[in-house]
Amino acid sequence: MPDVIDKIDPGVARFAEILSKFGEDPRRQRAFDAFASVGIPHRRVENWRWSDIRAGLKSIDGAAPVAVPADPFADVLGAVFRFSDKGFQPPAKRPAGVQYYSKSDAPAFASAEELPMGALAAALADDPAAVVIEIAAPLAEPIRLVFDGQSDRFHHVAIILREGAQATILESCLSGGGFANAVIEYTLEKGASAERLVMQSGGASTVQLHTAKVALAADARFSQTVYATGSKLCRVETRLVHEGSHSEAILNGAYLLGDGYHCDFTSHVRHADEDCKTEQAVKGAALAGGKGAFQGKFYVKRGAQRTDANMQHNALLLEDGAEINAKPELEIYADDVACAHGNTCGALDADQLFYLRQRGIPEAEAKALLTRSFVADAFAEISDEALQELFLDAAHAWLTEVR
Amino acid sequence: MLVLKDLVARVENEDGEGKEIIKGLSLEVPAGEVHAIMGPNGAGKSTLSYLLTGRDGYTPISGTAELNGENLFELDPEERAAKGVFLSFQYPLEIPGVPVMTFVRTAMNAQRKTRGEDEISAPEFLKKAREVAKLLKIDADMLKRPLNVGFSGGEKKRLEIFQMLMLEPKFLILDETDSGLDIDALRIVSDGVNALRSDERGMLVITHYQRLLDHIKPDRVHVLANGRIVASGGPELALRLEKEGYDGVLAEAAA
Amino acid sequence: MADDAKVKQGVDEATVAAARALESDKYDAGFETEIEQEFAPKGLSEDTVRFISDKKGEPEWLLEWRLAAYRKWLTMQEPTWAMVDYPTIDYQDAYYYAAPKGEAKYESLDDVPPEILETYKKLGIPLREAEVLLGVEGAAETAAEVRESDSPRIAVDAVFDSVSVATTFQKELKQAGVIFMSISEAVHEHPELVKKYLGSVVPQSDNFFATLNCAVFSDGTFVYIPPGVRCPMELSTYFRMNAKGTGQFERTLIIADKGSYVSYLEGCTAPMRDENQLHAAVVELVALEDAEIKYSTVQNWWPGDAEGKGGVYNFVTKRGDCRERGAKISWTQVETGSAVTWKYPSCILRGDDTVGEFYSIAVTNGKQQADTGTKMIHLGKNTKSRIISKGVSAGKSNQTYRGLVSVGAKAKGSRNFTQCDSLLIGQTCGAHTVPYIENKRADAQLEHEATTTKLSDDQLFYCRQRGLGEEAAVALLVNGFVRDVIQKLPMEFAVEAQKLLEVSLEGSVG
Repeated sequence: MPDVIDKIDPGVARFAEILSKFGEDPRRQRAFDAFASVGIPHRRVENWRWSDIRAGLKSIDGAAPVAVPADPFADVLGAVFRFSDKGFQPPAKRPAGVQYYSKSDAPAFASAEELPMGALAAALADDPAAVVIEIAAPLAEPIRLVFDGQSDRFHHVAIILREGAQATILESCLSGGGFANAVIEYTLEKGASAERLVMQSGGASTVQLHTAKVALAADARFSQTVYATGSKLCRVETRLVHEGSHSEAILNGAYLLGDGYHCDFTSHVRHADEDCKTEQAVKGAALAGGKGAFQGKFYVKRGAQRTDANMQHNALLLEDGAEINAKPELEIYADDVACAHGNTCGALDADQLFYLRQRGIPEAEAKALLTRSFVADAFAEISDEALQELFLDAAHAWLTEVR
Repeated sequence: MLVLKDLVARVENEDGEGKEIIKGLSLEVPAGEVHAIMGPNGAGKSTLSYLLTGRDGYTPISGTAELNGENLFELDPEERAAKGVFLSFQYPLEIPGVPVMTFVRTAMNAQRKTRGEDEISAPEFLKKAREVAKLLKIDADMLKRPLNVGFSGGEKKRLEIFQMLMLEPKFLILDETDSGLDIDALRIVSDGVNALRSDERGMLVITHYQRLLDHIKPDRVHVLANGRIVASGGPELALRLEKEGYDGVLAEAAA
Repeated sequence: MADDAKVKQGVDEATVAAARALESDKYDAGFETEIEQEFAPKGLSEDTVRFISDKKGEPEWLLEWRLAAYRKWLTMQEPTWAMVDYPTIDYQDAYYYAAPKGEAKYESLDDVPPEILETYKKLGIPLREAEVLLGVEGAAETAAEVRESDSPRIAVDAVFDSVSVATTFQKELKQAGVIFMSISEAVHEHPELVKKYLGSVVPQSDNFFATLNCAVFSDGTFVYIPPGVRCPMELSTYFRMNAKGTGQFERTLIIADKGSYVSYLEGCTAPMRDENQLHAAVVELVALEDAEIKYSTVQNWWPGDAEGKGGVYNFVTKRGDCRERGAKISWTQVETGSAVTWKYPSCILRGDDTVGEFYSIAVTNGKQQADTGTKMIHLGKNTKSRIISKGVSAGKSNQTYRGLVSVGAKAKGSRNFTQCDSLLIGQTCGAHTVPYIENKRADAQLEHEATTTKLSDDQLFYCRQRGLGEEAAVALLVNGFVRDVIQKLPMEFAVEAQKLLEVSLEGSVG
């Protein structure tokens, strides 16, 4: 359990060069410094032990990009905000109840020290420096954010839900190549409600970091479901703070990883006020050559009484040669709480498998069926049935095609 | 139909340690007959059912098991199922996330495919399911829920029979199907099983108690003890067992 | 307790109030023994290392081994990843060797200064009783009497500050072929065994504290159980830190040869002092084919006072190596003492079909900090491990369970079950869980569960309604909470542990 930070990091210089083109900019500089003090994370940096960015970037250096994967949300209605290596593209028509602003000056990134790689995205985001989307009312249709491209890119997005606002935000996180690093800041005011659905898909020669910072005021509700098939190196990170009482968060997700794919679900939830609730169910499965990681942490501040938090991570190693690592963590400074976490890691249940085969279902099909049902739990909180079906279909397609 | 000759088999635990449980068992169940296997705890009753259906860890050492002249031991569990071997489990498994209807349809079509038959059409399947559910007094709502998850012991057993009637197997093995059933459930389950009795089907009813045999009348009764059939007879043997207990009958058999 | 912290009404208020009153007089073992001591010169240098080695008349190879460790240590940094916070330790401001004046080892208990015997008597260590059995001619009758009585038969090695002062039951153990002596003696009497196994589980360069121990370890216990022997009695070492300003660096080495079995108990106490004392021990266990080692600890070093003044820094490296097929190592610990604890008794499951277990109860109170847990490293096929950890935090203490379960690519069919439960008493303490799970095998089954709860008001009320006093109710519930682990302790130790918990709870929870 070492925690050695290697200060000498030649990789940092590459990004310092990009920074220099913005000239003197104290906000960008502060964000960059937060990143530089850690450097490009590698496996000896505690919080990145299973996601060696340094090695990942090295391995994709000079690799030819592949086609950007298809967008699973392509047929879903809703205004599209597109962030790619060719710049920002706003929706053709501004949806009712939504305002958005392209910022040419970089705004401050408050959580720079907590999210050094998110800070790097904020420091280098260009064209524009940030996009702010403000939602003031319950929305009839989802809003879609599409992140795609084939070369290095950095994006900074802020989404604000005003008091009482409600929205479904669909994020497509697609990459055909390069280092894709995006940070999205969600701010939910009192009583606001957001459903965030993320679909990640990337080629085997791309590094993707998709980081969200979420702040919940009193009575706010945030429900997140992520589906990821990984990339050369992929991390979907969520850092959420219950700032007001009676707020609720759901942080579900599933990752399915084939040979040569990696995915890391990292989350940090801070319960800073009383009566807040967090539910987390993450499911994962990997084939030979697939590497999955889950790092979840619940922090309960002194005085955050009656916190109710439950974290579950269950993973399947479908073949030998797969690798799954997990670190479900609790840090608790209040006594009247109910906090639990569970982690399981192993193969499919042999008894269930036999039962299905006794009924005449061939082994491979029985395994796919069990894996699908195993993963389905992670999608249970998606409120819209059609969207839930979309997630299930995506998982099903992976299970039948990749396997 | 089912012919077992001089079967010797071993059960292995997770660590690969083996123990001989079936020690020279011979038995013949002709088509159209129902045979009951009774025996004390630990006699090898459940082992026999798993051995015939091909569960991992249940290994034949010598002897043969043939269904209509075909060697069962050469087939995978799903191939045996497609040949019509159906086991009603003593403890049916819970399969979270897979609704009963989805499960049964997947199984039915897989079996048909293995046999080279066409898949069942959706309306045809639904119609059949509705009929069977009605016969077994199963709520339609139950069929939409994940298989056996949160079901009572009785409900689980009823669902085993539901699957049996849906899949219409050729050879039925009922492993302690009466355990955990109240009188009413026992009658419903038995009616379901009896509905499947026909000249082409064979059945092996494994039970510890006689009461199931009041409802499913056997043609022959065999007593299994210590891995062998030690006594065989008509239905009256089961009644004798009920009256005198296993000890008496076993002592006589040994003498 | 912070004054601004809200105190809840009713039961909790009284409970929490009691938690504030961690008074020194609750620490029964907090007395000091007046005895003449011999010290090494203060501070740490190659000379200190040579002094210690010389005092013990060690062979050249061991001195070189110590010096190599010392040089390595100079290049290492104190670890900072644990969730503990303490002022920087000045390693030059401590004594690294203290021994009661006189012979380094006493020929018989009669030669042991009566003050020391008195100390152990106060602590309830059965030395005097053992004395009768120890080599005294014509004491057979008495021995038989003792044997028939219900008193447990435990062979004891007593370590007073830096040296072993007495080892009991020598004769009987010798008959069984068991070697049980201080490690200083073993260096002379069984150099081949010591040389072969010392540092083979915890290498010289393992970690900052273990490497320090390699350089300056003063004494400790050596156990060797020959093939096929079931050790006829529980073996026990009782550690006592007495001298002021002295670190204790003992080293334990236990080897269970093929097919043997041993149960080993370790107890620790220290006098109350305002200053912090450093304890950096190393325990190495080696279990060969089909051997089993059961290692139990009751750790009750002085935890410091309610304000966090004084107390022992307990930085211990304990590791067992299930080196060959079928070996089993089981760690059980009851941790109630020390100001700061940094301790992860671990198992390397190297042989096929090996088993590792870790059962832990940790109680922290006042300003205690404990970062403790285990590592289970599955390397061989069909290896199994089990972790049960129960943490009780009270007062302003902080407690962390930190563990690693790792399944290597060759560890076919491995299994682990982990359960870590935390109980918080009052609103000013902390309970943390940091498990790492690393799996490279599809056929491994790993399960981890953790819960954090407080004492239930409903349960407390129920107990009180049935007539239990509040203190008794709390004690009862806490005892219930840790029961799974208490049951894993050898009988004699379970009683002691339960008593210890009661005392801790008296001062800490109600």
